[in-house]
Amino acid sequence: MKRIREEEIFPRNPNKTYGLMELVKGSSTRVDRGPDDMVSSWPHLLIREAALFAACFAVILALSVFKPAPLELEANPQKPPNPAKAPWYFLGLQELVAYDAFWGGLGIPGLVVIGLMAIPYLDRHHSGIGRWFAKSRRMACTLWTGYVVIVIVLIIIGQYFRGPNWAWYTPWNMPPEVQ
Amino acid sequence: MAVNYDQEKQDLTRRNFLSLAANGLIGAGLLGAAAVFGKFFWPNVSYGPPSKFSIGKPTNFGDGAKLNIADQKVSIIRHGDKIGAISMVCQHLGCTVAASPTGYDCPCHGSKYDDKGNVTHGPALVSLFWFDVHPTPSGDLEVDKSKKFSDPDHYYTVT
Amino acid sequence: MSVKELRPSGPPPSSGGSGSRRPSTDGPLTKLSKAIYRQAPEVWDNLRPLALFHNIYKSVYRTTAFPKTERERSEAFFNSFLLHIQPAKIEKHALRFTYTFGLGLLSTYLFLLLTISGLLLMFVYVPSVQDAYGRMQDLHSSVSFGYILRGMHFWSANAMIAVVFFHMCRVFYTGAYKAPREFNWVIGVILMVLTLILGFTGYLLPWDQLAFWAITVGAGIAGKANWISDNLNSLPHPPGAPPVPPLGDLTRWALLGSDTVGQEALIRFYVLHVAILPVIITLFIVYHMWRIRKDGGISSPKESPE
Ligand code: HEM
Ligand code: FES
Repeated sequence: MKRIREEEIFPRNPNKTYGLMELVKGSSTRVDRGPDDMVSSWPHLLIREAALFAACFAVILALSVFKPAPLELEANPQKPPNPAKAPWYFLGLQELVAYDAFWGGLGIPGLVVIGLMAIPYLDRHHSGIGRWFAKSRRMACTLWTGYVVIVIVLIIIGQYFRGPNWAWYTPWNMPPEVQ
Repeated sequence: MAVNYDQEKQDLTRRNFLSLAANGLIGAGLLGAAAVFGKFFWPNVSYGPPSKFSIGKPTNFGDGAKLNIADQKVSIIRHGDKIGAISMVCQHLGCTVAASPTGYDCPCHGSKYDDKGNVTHGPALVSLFWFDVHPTPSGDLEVDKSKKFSDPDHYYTVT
Repeated sequence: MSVKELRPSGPPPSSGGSGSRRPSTDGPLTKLSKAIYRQAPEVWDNLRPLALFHNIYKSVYRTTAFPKTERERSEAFFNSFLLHIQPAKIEKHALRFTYTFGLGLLSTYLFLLLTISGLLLMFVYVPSVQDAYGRMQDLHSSVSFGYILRGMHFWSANAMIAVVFFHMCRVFYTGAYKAPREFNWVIGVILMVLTLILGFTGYLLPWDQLAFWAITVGAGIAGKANWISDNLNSLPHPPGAPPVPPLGDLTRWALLGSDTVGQEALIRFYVLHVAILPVIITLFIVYHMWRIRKDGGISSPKESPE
């Protein structure tokens, strides 16, 4: 390892208690991390971030040009549309609310949020970090998949299987006035 | 914070006391601020339509009438010589119900009510409100939405 | 010009010329420039376009634009305001697209797009029951690029909700919420709730049928908190104790500013949507990022057994 002359490159600032001390060629000084496999963020990270932004911007722009945002008729407090559907991300909630207003709208969502926050304090087994679907976490992954499936199924029901008066319909029998 | 948890100095030293007191003061201040904010967001006047409105002479309504007063979200009904005012705000989550042959249906989550506002189909659990109907000196009938009843059959009987 | 008369013995011509002083025939500008040259010859060097550009660049960016050596590359991140949030060196594993699918970063980008398009929309939108809907129509008809602007806000908002959810799934499936990142997961849940509330408040603003009834129902849901106070009141309690106030009606009333969705609700949702919630969510995002650094970068398989 060839040390680079300290003083010249990183002049010490006597007012600071910290500073960049030196840069060395060779493996990083991080301990307990096994063999070094660090790369410098410039350009490896930067180029990926820039590419992701370009892609993200392009997709959003294309959607906005070719599929403009919907605008319904002006609000009319006297006449609710039938059915009055929430935006897709709240359709799961609306589906629950159709069974019981308190539990569907506040009770269950509140418990879900608290439950989500509790996950890292309940599952403290130190294994499988940094791997997709680690074997030792099969149980956890299955439970989570169950949760995701419920969320998605509720949204799909609300979007495609509920018609006027929030009654059951199949997508192919849906009255035409329901978008 | 500065509370001293040193093993040997568990008792309340002067410094502990001061920092506890300071924390208490800060806490009380924050609570007070929260109360002030809460009160600020609390509307003191309502900008909605007035809660009392006239519906004209009883003779406007024939027997069996079911008349929708849209901007007040009230349905006026007449059974024989009895006139009632039923709220059209769904008891489930507040959509406006629509009159239907069987009574009132809510388009939002499918609640159904009969002609007197009783629930015949969920998810609503409670029947529609009835409002007070009374005559004014001029002989017109007036509905007072500030007086509401959760049980049906609050009629005004035409004499 | 009068300068000549006032100062007959003007500055001598540029040095070097041989011998005798003769009265200057230079104009005032030439004289000034000669004077400058004599006093500070480097000024002219500094004005050379390349040098000027280089110096301005160096004063703005603290590192070279094309870092080549290892040291310059580190400094490029270390010294840059935008980049210093990130480490100068990063584990190869963290760069694999199939590990994160860039979902967290994508949420940040979408939030950025929402902020920019939202600020532009504010130039057109009026939060009033009479005008709001008309302004939405204007965006589609009379404002240049208005519909694209609205579309960008609409699509970014919808995409952000989906992407944040997928990001949460990725974090779960990779076990990335385990120690020491527990609290960052909690921050994440808060971020997701904030994202949903942002969507909810924004949904009312177009003042169309969907908006109006979705918010009516949403406020109705808040009203169901009455269940809690009703049940508390039905418990045995000491005689004369005041009843718990109807919690749901109270929240609904504070949310809508009235008992139905109207102008009061619109202005409340507007302020929440364009000012309060974005600031709160920005603070949480900043904290989320800071925690990632402090927790040792994003998770890696080296941290635990399989
Ligand atoms: C506004 C929404 C959010 C933004 C902008 C955001 C941003 C980010 C970013 C940029 C990363 C870096 C890694 C990556 O790109 O995947 C990250 C990691 C992380 N996020 Fe989020 N996030 C958001 C919501 C959430 C949610 C909903 C959760 C979970 C409930 C969450 C939990 C985490 C955790 C635990 C990490 C560390 C992951 C690791 O170390 O591998 N975040 N977030
Ligand atoms: S609001 Fe009437 S059924 Fe939900």
